[in-house]
Amino acid sequence: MTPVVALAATAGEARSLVPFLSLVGSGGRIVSWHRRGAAGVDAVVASDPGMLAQIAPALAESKVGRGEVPTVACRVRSAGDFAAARELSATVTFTDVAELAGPDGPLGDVEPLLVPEHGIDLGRYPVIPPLSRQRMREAHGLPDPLVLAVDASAPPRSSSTSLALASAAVVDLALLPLALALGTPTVVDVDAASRFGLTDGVEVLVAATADLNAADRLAATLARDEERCAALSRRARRFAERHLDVAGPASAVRRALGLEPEPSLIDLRLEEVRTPEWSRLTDRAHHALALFTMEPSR
Amino acid sequence: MTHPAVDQEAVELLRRRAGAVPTDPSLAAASAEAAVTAVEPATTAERFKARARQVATPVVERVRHELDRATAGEVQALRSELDELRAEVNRLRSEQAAALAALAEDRR
Repeated sequence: MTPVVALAATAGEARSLVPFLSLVGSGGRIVSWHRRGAAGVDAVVASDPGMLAQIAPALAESKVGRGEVPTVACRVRSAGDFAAARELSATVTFTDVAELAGPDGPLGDVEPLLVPEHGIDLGRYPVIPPLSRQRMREAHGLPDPLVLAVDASAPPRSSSTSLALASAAVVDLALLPLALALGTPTVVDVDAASRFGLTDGVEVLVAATADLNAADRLAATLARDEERCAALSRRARRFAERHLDVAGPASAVRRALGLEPEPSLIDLRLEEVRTPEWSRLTDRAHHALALFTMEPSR
Repeated sequence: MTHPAVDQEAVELLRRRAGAVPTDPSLAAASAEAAVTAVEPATTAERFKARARQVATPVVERVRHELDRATAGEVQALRSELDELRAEVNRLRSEQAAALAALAEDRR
């Protein structure tokens, strides 16, 4: 049966949960709690403990499936939020506050799970190293080097294609996660670099002034330096894997909510080396494993 | 035999072409041998037609086999692409549903 995931959000907080909710509810039905109510809901994503407190009585009364109340994932943004969510029996908590999460955080636990504010589903965007970019440009008859300035005003398909094919690109804040995920050698302004905690010359090049021409010139110079492009590309992707991936936490929340079974050992190993679920390598690994286990491959 | 990569009209064309020029003598011999056991057709035209069909059948089978082998890689690539497109459709569906749910929550 298709699982139903409901969003319960305080006004003004719902929009920021959309990317994460779409991953958590992937493969199921995603509904509004206040429109649908508790009936038939398998899991709830709550925007904050205040909202969780509001819906708690209805949750307690509801009986779904095998007589269980829906599981709940609650976003928290402080230690107080975390305690309140625990008090209200949230199944799992998540946060977009980096300082709150991780073993070094004030809570010192495995929770809350960190869901980066500007996160991106890396499984959807495999890295494209400079050499692959060059070959793709050749195949498409594009000039080499190809230096582009890409901003969020372009249609999504156009901007992702530009970032995938560029030798180097000047990128604005909104498209920076995508550029980093794709391993695009990137030039950004000081504000974007500081917002993401990027270091000049390590993951990106930072244009010292707001002058767009200066940024363009910097990108053009970068595009001619193959070694530097390769290093920036590699480190940009690594940064995205460490700080921007939302697929991992979304999968952990799905498992906690009972929407996804625990992964098999082979899936865990493939995930460790960042192999996309839909890749041929994953298919081959499953086929090869099926030969030993005598079970049909998926 | 049906297959997404095989177009029936193209197969018919191949069959006609292959039937006109049997390339492998052993296949032609086998077909001739098989023809001995076939029921004798009533008219000359029917006899020629039946003979042509018998000669063509193994050649068509071979061509079909070669075609399958030649297109296997392409078929695999198309299947992968199809899987990716399905995943993309599912992802867009989820995104749209999440956006609608968020809108409903914000508007209540």
